[in-house]
Amino acid sequence: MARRDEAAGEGTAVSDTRASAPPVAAPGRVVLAMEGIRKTFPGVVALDDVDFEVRAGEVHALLGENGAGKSTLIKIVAGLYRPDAGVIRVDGEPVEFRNPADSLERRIKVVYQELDLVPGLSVAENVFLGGYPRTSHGLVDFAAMRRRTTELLGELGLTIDPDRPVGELRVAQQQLVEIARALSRHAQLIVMDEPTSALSSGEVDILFGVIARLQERGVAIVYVSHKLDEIYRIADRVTVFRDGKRVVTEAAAATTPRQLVAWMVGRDLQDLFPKTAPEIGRPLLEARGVSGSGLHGIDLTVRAGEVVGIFGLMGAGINTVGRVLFGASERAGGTVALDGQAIRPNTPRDAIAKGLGLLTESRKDDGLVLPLSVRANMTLASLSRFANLSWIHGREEARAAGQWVDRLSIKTPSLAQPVRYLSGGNQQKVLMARWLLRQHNLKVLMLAEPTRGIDVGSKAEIYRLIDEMAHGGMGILFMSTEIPEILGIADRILVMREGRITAELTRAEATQERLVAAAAVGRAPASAGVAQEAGD
Amino acid sequence: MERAPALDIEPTARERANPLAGAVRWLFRTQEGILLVVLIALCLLLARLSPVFASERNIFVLLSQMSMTAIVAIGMTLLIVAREIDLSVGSMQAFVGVVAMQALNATEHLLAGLAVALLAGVAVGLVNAGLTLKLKINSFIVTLAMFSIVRGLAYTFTAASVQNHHKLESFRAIGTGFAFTLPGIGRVPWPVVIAAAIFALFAVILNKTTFGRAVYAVGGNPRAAELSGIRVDLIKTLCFVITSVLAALAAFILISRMNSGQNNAGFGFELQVIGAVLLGGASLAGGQGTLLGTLLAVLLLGTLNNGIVLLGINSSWQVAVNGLVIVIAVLLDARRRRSLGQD
Repeated sequence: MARRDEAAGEGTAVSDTRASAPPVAAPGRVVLAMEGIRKTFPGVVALDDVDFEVRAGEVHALLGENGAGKSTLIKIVAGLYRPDAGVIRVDGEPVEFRNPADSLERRIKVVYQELDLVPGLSVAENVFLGGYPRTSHGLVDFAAMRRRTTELLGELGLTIDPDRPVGELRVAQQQLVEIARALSRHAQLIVMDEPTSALSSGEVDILFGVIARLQERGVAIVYVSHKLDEIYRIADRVTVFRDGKRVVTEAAAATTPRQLVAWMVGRDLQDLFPKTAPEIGRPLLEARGVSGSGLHGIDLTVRAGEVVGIFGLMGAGINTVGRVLFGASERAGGTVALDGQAIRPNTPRDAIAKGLGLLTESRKDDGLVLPLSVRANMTLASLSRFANLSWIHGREEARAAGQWVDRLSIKTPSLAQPVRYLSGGNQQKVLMARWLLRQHNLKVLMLAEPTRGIDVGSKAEIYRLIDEMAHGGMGILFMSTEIPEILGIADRILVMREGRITAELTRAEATQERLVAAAAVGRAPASAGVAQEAGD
Repeated sequence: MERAPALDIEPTARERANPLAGAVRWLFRTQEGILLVVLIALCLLLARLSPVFASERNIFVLLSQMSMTAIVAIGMTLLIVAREIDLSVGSMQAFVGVVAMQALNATEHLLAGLAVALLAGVAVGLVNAGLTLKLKINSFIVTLAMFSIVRGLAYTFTAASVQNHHKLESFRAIGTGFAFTLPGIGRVPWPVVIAAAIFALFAVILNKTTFGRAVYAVGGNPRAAELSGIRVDLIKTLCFVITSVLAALAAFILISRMNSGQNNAGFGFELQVIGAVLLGGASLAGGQGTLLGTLLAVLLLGTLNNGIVLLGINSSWQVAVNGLVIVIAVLLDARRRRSLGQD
């Protein structure tokens, strides 16, 4: 607090909005209270009579499966949606958020997964976007802006160059810029929507450090995440949502992970990894000396019935392996064969024809065709199966797609629903179904981070499916940065670092420590991370 | 987005039980429905205001004129759904017109003239596709260049126009003859029959074939389509060629109606066509649009222009109205996208 006032005092020539801002609320005070909130969309009740409060200085975690109502709640807080019923109070006063500006006005800032920064502008320009400090001549006071940005970042314990274009920063740093921006507007409540989904573990540590500093300053944090370990690291209280209702609000320390999952899923989830004994057969996918797109000399074999895991830290190139083998990224050298047949480089069509499938890590960029229906998205890679001389037999197509909607329990009002409207977990299942519909001609399926950003219930279903497919004789290449799931489902694990495979471990040999050690050999301690890189 | 607003066209349980409610919702909530309502309202209004409007002669002249726009708009719908565009279709009216008329004069054979026209269409389509896809230049830029190049070729081909020296009767029939008589309604002109047949053909292709599905996928997300084994460049090339060939066919009908090939034909035609496609609900972002929407938009624009003439309003307004319609179409598109949360 003291530092803030000093900073404001220094900038006397600057028309400082900070000077006039009210002080941040005292810890423990209710900053935001929502009572009886209800929000419906045609055919769905997204939020049903929900009460929710956030206190100054607390980290309040929001948990729930995809579709439970968390995002809707956040969007109401952000002023993007208006509730059908209920009252929102900020600092005890009833408010009405008609648009995001209203919400910002009340010093509430939502940091989304897709950041809304301007990539071409500098860090400082982004931090003060929409409220540039001015000189006495009415011109933008760039010097003050730079100085204050450095101060704000300094208060968060960061040293990012304020002149650097935001587009050049890593996602983690951009996120911190967003938070600095929230501070420049004296946010008293910051909502973070799955902030760690694209961060390395070192970057996560830095973010958590920032969160702790924010807490000290009395800023309230609403933290949305699927990752239970993170919640136990930082959250004071947890609220769990299920099917549009608030199930429980509890002090985080008073809960167990098992309880949290049960509240989220609505039942006791017995076994997250339903791994059964594999029956491993002949080699199917064989890569020899594959290079290109940042990979060097990749050798790997996936056998029938085998689940091969590829583990590495963010940036190690694990997802690139799938892309290069499939032909989605450039292969400069080496050979790839599937069941003895060579696969041409850089031609996904050839890989598919020979029996290879790839689920990419970026659903929206190169997986889903957002405007198209659930059905069209599902059958995109297997359409010829339902077609005679290019004529699509609509009924057969719908029947086949419908079967997978049922089997994967995909929540959609109909097959004709544009896939854009499904929740992340359900979208991921649609993409799984796209390859499952090719089962007749699919020998090896490669999955890049298939459980990223999806809820526990859907995760368990995806693990079960993977096990089931392997049992049917398919080979599976599973790329992931999450250790528990790699240990949980892989028969054999390849560890990567800087585009090379550095270790190979059997299921029996693999432990968390060994994986981390192999992934990080020669690497600086993880906590060096973001702030240092920013300085250069 | 978690619980998404269900799409407009998705019937609710109540509407499934009551088809009438579903139909009403379709009429007032979908682009096609709204266009149909506006079109009917406009027709009723014009029929009241002008005794000529509802006459058999006016209706069929109107439909004949709109046929050429409709034919090209069908191709343009495919192209825009595939996230590409063709600005050269107006210049094609001039170029193909003069070349085809010259070929007819030289050969005195209808099919030879038609073949030359369609081949010119294929050639321009391949050039558009090649420059766009091989050199990876935005098709807006490529076809803007072709817009000038093709018009320039027409100018160099003839100083003003190529007259009809062959006097083939079958040639005149294509633009001005009648295919058959509908009992109780009247004689149906050939251009209308041709446009209807092409509409039916492409409606089936777009909705029922793997090619049609690929067009939507390629426009909706080219990377995803490629990674699902779709030959993106091939699909786009076909869309370019289809558009150019249909433009050539429209040009052939036009020279038959005008009885000459003129190097200034089709000025502003591309805007009329693209305006109709956008008004019909296709999105420049690709992956969205229907032929029914395009057809209704062509009919609406044609009727509007016809109304301007019939009501004795200065016909210069026609051009301005076309521009206005594009603005409305784009506004509707933006509004729809906002309601879909795409912004």
